[in-house]
Amino acid sequence: MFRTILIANRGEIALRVVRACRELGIRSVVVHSTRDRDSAAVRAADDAIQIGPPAPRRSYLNAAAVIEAALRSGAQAVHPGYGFLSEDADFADACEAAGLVFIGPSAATMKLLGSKQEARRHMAQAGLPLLPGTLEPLDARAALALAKQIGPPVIIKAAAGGGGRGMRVVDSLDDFVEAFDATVTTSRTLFGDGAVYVERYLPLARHIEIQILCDNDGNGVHLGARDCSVQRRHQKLIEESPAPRLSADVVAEMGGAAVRAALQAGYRGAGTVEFLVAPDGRYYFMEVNCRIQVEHPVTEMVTGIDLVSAQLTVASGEPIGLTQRDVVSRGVAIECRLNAEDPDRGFVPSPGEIETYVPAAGPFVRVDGHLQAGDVVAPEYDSLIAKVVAWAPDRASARARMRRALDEFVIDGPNIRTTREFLLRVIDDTEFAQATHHTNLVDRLFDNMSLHENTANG
Amino acid sequence: MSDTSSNAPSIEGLVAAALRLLAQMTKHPERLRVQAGEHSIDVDWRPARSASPSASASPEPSMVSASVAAAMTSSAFAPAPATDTLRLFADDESGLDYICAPMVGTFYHAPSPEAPPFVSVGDTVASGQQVGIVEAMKLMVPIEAVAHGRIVKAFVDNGEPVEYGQHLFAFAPA
Repeated sequence: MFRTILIANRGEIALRVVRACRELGIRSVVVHSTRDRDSAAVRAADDAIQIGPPAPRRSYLNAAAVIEAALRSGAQAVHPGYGFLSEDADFADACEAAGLVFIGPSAATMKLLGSKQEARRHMAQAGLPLLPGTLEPLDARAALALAKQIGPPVIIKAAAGGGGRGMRVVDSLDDFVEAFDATVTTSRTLFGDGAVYVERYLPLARHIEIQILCDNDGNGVHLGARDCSVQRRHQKLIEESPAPRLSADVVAEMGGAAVRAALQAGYRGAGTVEFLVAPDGRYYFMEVNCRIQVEHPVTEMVTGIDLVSAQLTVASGEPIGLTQRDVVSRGVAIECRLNAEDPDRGFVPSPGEIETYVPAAGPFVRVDGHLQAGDVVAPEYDSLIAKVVAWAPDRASARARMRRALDEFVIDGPNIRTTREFLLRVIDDTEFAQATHHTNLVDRLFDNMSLHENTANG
Repeated sequence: MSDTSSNAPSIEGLVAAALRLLAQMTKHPERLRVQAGEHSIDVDWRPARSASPSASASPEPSMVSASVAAAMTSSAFAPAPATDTLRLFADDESGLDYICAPMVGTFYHAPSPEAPPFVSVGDTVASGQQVGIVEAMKLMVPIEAVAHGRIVKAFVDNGEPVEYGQHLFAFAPA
């Protein structure tokens, strides 16, 4: 095992990794910007190195500074957390060249799975079902012919796109060519690459993902499914495990396929294979996330497996020491993301000073946070304040615990607005309670809410 | 009126202490007042406009005349304008200017192990004159004086690791 690990991240995930290190007796060193010089992760770590000003591209995204800090600190490995450099194949390469272990898959695997087109091709070969569509970039005429074959509605996506940008849904094929040309133009403007692809669009779908864990010896297990259908513009708000109303057989099938496909891509470490599940129960591969994910705690709570600790074990060259039989999911865990965002103003970030901070606690509640009263939610970084996780033997009790935990949580400050009340609305929503919701749940609630307000104001 | 010149060293120390304190603050003050005789440091977060009347209502004006460091504008302490985060100014004659590390790395005070140091305490340097090197990933970045002045203190020994923004030298602008 490593003696020292450098953590190239901030916020709750940096603290999460520091804690895993502490439990394993590993020395932790956190890099930080000038803004984060007094952060919880910096205070908790054994050592901290200031690497740049608040702007991420000059600190947390500054690969040279991170590697210099790692070498200086005597670290053998770098944990990239999520976001920032976590899925940057060039950074993984640079770590290796500097003699540091990058805690994640190899640069080659990340390159393969990081490209939407490449990943689709690889997963199709590995036998994962894809939505009907193209594997290669096409011109407008060939694309129209294909769209006719698939049948509307179809979605046109920028091959280089991400984060919900550079995509268009076409309901009628009469509009197809115009939409196609527009997407090519947008894609060229936004990503400097006009390549687009076409696939069937599922108006109603659930976002289901499989947590995988692979080692260097070709062993791999899956840790069940998470349902992340409660999202707004591809930003997840609530996640849970297991995925409700998805049979154990289907999860086992999806999990087995995900592990096989990942191992074929040479995957090592923790990762997530994302799927869309249609109302008829069919599932389709979407993408692979080559990192620890924000929502990993729900899987930890139902399986009892510490995923960050497992990442460190695998990265140090040891086997995962688990077979699929050892992975047993028990009960239900739900996670809510408390963000400093204002749901009344389209979820715009509301950075500012926190005056009062009383985190939820009590039985079967876990809070992964990083702030305290007097701290500032900085405008330069993401707006995540804390993740609240509640566990219970069944889903109804888990919802009740989550409601209780969210009721307890107090975050207040002159400019701070949070998603807390919106999350409570979702927890109490009838569709969510029955788990019949799809990825459009938040938009529906959001529309109702605005409607409500308009009525109230009018 | 106190004799500021006899108090000069402790004033400098107090200014340095104030700047260290300031560097630890997450919220940047509108005014910072430093006094040498009674070792006092006043920090004010009130908006500049509303601060003046309340300041005149307090018994502090006499202290202002006896104190050394004057008010500093908040913009001088803005925590990282993209252009230049490496300088902190005290805009009066006894204020010190700092030369800071532009990146994480190793500090060298001379161009080679055998060569004499670029500068020593007491030296006068011209703006743009090289005072050291910070090396990171085999990249040698020359460190230059940001203004004309006299080197008052060297904070980092040769070959020592430095962080981004760490003070390398204090100097009194001429």
